[in-house]
Amino acid sequence: MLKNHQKELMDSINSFLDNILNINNLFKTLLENYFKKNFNEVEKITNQISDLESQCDKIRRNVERKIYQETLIPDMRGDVLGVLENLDKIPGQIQANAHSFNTEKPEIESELSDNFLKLCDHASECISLLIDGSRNFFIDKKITIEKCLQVSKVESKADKISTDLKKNIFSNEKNGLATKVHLRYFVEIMDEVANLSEDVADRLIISSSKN
Amino acid sequence: MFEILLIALLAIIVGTNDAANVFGSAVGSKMLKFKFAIIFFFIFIIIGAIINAKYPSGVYRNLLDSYPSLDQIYLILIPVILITILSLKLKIPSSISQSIIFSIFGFALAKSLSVNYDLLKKLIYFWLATPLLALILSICFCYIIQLIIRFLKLNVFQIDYQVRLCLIIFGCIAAFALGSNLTASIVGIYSPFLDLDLNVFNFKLSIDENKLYFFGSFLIGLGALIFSQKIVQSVGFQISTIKPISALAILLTQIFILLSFSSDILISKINHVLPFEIFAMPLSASHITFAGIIGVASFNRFREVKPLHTIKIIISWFLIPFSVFLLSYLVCLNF
Repeated sequence: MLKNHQKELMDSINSFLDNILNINNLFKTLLENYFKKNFNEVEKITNQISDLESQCDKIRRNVERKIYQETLIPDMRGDVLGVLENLDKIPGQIQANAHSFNTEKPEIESELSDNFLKLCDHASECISLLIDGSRNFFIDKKITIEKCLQVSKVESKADKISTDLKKNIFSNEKNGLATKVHLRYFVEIMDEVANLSEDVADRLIISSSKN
Repeated sequence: MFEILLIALLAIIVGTNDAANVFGSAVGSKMLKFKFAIIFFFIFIIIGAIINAKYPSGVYRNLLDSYPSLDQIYLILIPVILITILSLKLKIPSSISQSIIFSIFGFALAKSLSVNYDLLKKLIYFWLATPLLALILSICFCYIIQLIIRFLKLNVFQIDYQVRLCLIIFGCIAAFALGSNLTASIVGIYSPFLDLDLNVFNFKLSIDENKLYFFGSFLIGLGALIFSQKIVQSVGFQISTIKPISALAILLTQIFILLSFSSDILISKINHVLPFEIFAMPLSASHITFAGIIGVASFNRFREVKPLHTIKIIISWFLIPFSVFLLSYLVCLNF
């Protein structure tokens, strides 16, 4: 009737968040290897990302089931569930991006690669801030709000870079329309990670203010 | 036999109505399951009744100079039972102790008996003061609990576990405190006739003080077990939304007030400190719970308070005792 699940649940949530951070770091390594044309390494990292993403799903389901089965935290159960499910969309998006790079192998010119890496850095920073905020959601909601507000600022930087990238892609007359559209697609899916982070951060701010 | 049936009926009604006061906020906030809450309520209400009910029971004995005879007690109880059933139907929590006192008052006026007005005045003062005290205390307890949580930097699952544990422990203490209070309200009216020898289906049944309190509290528990689930699950939500920490603050308020007015040891210690004297008396747990809920609702600037139901309850605090008094007076004039 009154089992203390706190350690088990907090450990699970922390490993869920750690996995997202690992996926985030792996994607950066994947991109660096891609620009060095180490495609074998890219494939290896893509598989690692997929494994971690599956683990994230498993952990999230376990945590959600435990919270509902044991009727824990009744007043913020819905918010925790929402936060975990939204957070889980981020590794999903990164996994999809990794697979896209691995299978479609877009031809990115060297002058664009720096901006692609910058875009990846900003998206990565959004995720790191979001994970910090999410960790504090269970302890100190003021810190959560602070971190989540920073996510929006970094996301704006990512938006600027993605706009610059699109301008450069479409102003390059060497490439045909198909290549341009293909490259734009990769800019958009990388920017989507930052956008998703911002959406989750917004949700976290609301949940933190409410509780 | 008729006396036993009246006590049983009243006890079951009270159990239905008052289990909500102890575990209602915990079950309503989904921190405790009803079946566990009611088991704790059952056990501790009986213990509380046997240990402490004799102290607040004395009030009934001292209210009238010449107490009604045993065969007249039903005239006092029937108006109480009728009005309480009506208030339950209207989903308004009522105070059995207040109803009984005002029914005795109506009886005394109708039968031209002399009433201890000094005692009656004191009771009314305390009945008006205790909800106010509950309102202030619940706010203080809410602050203290939140300060402790912030100081200890607990995560949400630790808070959940600690609050759940406290709700069970304090719920049991509140049931213990309520046990004396409620049982005193129900069987206290028979307190001048303790050591009753009753005929139950040709069996001689002798009832002493402890048996009477056990019997009363057992039936309160039974009433709670059988009929209170809906009320327990909806308590609070009729007035305002209750969060687990608020539920704990309300429970602590109940314990503090109910024990202060039922435990002889606590009363003598409190009287050393206070400039005026308090004494053991049956209080309204429903009024204390209501005031506690309003107190914790002040944290959200009363945004979640349902004004219509709140006003209805406050009006009922005056209307119910008056209705019982009037009904008792009219019944006693005719019988």
